[in-house]
Amino acid sequence: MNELYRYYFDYAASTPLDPLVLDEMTVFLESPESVANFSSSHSLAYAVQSVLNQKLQLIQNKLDLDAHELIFTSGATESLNYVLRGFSNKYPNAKIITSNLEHSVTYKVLDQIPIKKIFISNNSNAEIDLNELEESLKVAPSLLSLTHVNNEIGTINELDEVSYLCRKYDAKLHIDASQTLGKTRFDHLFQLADYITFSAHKFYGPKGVGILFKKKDELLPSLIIGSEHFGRAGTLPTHQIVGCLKSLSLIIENPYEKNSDIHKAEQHLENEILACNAFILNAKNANRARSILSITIPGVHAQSLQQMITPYIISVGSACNSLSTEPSRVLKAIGLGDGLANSTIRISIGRFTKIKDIDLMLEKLINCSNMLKKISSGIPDWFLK
Amino acid sequence: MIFNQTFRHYFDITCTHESEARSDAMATEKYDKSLKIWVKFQLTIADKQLVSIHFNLYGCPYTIAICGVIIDSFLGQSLENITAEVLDNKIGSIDLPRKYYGKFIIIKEAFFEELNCSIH
Repeated sequence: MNELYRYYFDYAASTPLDPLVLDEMTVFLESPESVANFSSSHSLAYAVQSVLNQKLQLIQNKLDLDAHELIFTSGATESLNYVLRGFSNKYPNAKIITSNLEHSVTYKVLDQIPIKKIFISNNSNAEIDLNELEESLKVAPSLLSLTHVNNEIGTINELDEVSYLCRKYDAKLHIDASQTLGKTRFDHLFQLADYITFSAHKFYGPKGVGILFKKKDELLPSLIIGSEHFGRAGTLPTHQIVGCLKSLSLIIENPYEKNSDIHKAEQHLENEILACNAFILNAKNANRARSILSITIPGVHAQSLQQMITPYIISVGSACNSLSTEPSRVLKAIGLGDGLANSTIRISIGRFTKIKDIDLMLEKLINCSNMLKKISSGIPDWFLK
Repeated sequence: MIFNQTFRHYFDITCTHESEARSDAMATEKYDKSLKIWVKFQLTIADKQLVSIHFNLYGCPYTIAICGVIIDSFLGQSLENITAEVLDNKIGSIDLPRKYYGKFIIIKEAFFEELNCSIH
């Protein structure tokens, strides 16, 4: 295992590639069939088609996905674009319903498409208002797009009721499950949603590949025009797909619910954070994926802490937003003011995190926080709210 | 955020700088909430030299590094060598990204206002 993983606490941004996934990809890349273009008609192409179809069939059998199709995309961003833009193109007079707790990509895409949008409000535990949702769903057609596990604060959207409401009012449901695999149970999602987005690099697979599951009768216009395989045009990145399917099979073989090592590490990290009076664990009482912790440390500028805690790698709010100077929309949606949002970090752990490394990181986190608090002592309270 | 070794060096100077606040002295404080910066300086001058720099700061790593530049440039210097031009040149030479110039100006103004108060 790479030594650097000892310092890595940003699994929600991207997970390390599992060595078993790397092995599978390497074996494939060294095989003759990896040379072939999937869409060609010669023997090598048939060989690569056979390899991929077998691997895919295994996954579909394990997950009982006869009624589903898979589209291999470049990742969650493309999948979100596919669903949101596709729905908008197909039903220009419809509406898209979402929450204020989504990944920034959702808002960027929605900004670009001329369709009615509704944003459902939430409480401080990031639970969306179901009454408001039901009112919004009453006029069809509509698409509801929600994140399952929040990438910034780890809260889990309970989707059973949401799915029921969507079926009741004939609305489509898209679940952004980019953060779900390896952090909580996921197999039930296939019964709840019409579309589900996954991204391989969030579950120990390679970057640049993801899966959009859709029910077989859910057709949306393609984003990219060309010869299609698995619902998407363009030459299939076969080695990426092999890695993606291997990482998914590892999750299926050792699901989160049965992974006692990660449970122990999560419990240890949360207990230690809660024991520290200077730290505020956001959405503490919510149903959360406990491998993602959003922590506010009043008086400590999060970016300065991120710099000071080097070589440990932690995130400021959402990594996808860290180049922005705007406070996180999600943190504001759960009630944090700009000052507190600017003092919020995200620690996320995963498969390769050891308890002893958590302890060493926390020791440095506390020391650095104390140093920055000393530097900022005397700051007016109103500035920090 | 790109934070290179030069800024890291000045960041570390600030973080390891020890200078106790004096209860008998005035201080100059400036802030800008939209830029997410609050800074307070307290300086001690003796024999026409800047002998101590005490500051408090809430801000991003670049603001911390800017305070390191001030400490590195001016602590122990005679007053005639402590000018805005010297600081501007130093900041220019280390290529502070333009988006941080607003924060730099706030820190600079707080420092030189406090310097003037301390002299008089």
